[in-house]
Amino acid sequence: MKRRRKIGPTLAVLVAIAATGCQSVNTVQPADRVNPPRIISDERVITDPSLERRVAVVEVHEAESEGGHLRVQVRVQNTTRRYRTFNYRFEWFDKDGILIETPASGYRSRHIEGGESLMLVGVAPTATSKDFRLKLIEDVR
Amino acid sequence: MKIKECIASGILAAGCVAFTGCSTKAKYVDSTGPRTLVTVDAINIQDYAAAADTMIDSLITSVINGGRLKSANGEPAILGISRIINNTSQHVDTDLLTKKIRVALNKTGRVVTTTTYGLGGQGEDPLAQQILKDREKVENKPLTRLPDYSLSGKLIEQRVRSGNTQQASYVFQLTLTSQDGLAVWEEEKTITKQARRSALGF
Repeated sequence: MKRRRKIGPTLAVLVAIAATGCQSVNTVQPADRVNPPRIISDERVITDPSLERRVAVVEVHEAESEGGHLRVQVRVQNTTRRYRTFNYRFEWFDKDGILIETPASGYRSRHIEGGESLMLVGVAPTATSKDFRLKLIEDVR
Repeated sequence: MKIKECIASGILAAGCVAFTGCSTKAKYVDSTGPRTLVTVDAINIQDYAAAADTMIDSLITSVINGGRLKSANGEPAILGISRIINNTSQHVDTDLLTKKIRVALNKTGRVVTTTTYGLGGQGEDPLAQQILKDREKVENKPLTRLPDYSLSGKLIEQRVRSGNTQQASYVFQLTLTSQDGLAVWEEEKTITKQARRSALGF
C-alpha cells in the first residue's frame, strides 16, 4: 500500500516531464482562398529521412514580380508535437544553371512549434536568377 | 626485453594522447554554414548575415521589384551610407551589416553606392574624393553626384534574465530616405538568443 502511494506522484512527475515541450499549434485559415499561390512540382533528394519526417516540405510556391526577381515560398510542417529547430538556405542559379553567390546567402536558423506550418520565403538576389534550390538541415549546433 | 618495449610504447602512446588532449584543435567552418558558434553576449557573424538577408529580401521585394526606386535618366540609383547608430553594449563594426546589403544591391544592377560623398563631407574613399575634386578644378564644373537615397539605421540590444535563463535580443533597424527627406523603405529584424546557465555555474 505504501509502495503504491510513492509510485503515483513519481508517475505524475514523469508524465509532466515528458509533456514539457510538447505543445502544438492549432491553425485556422479561410477555406476558399482569394488568390491561391502557384504550386510547382518539385524534385527532392532526401538524405536525412528523420528530418523529412519531422519537418516535412508540404508544397512549393513560385511567383515572379514586375522587376523580374523570382520569389519562392516553401511550406514546411512540423509533423511532431515537439518544438524543433532547423536550418535552411536558398541557392539561386542563373539561366545557365550557375550558382549566384551573395554575401548574405547563408543558412538561416528557424524554429517551429509542434504541429506548426510555416513558410520559408526566398527572394532571388538578381533578376537573372531563373532557378533555385532549398537546402534543409537539422540543427547541428 | 619485449615487455620493456611494450611498456615504453605504452607510455609514449599515453604521452601522445595526453599531449593531444591539451592542445587546441582549430578547424575551418563555413562562415555561412550552420556550424558557426552561437553566443548570447555578442552579435555573431550569422546574425549579421541573417539580418542583412532579411533587409535585402525586403528591399528587393518592396523597393526594387515594385519599381519605386527613382533615379536620374534611368541610371542606377545612387545610395549614400548615413549613420548607423550602435545602441548595443558592444563594439560593432556596422559594415558587417551594410556591406552585405551594398553588395547585394549592387548585384541587382539597380543601385550603386557613392564612396565620395558622406557625412560631414567625408567620403568613404578619400583618394577617390580627392581625384573628383582635382577633376572639378581642371574641368571647372561640379562632378560630385548627390545620392538619390541615404541608408541610416540603428542597432539596439535588450537583455533579460529569468532564473538561470539569460536572453538577449538584437534589433536591426534600417531606413532608406529619398532626397525629399521621406522614408521610402523601412525594415526591422530582431534576433533573440537564449542561454541557460548550469546550476554549478559552469
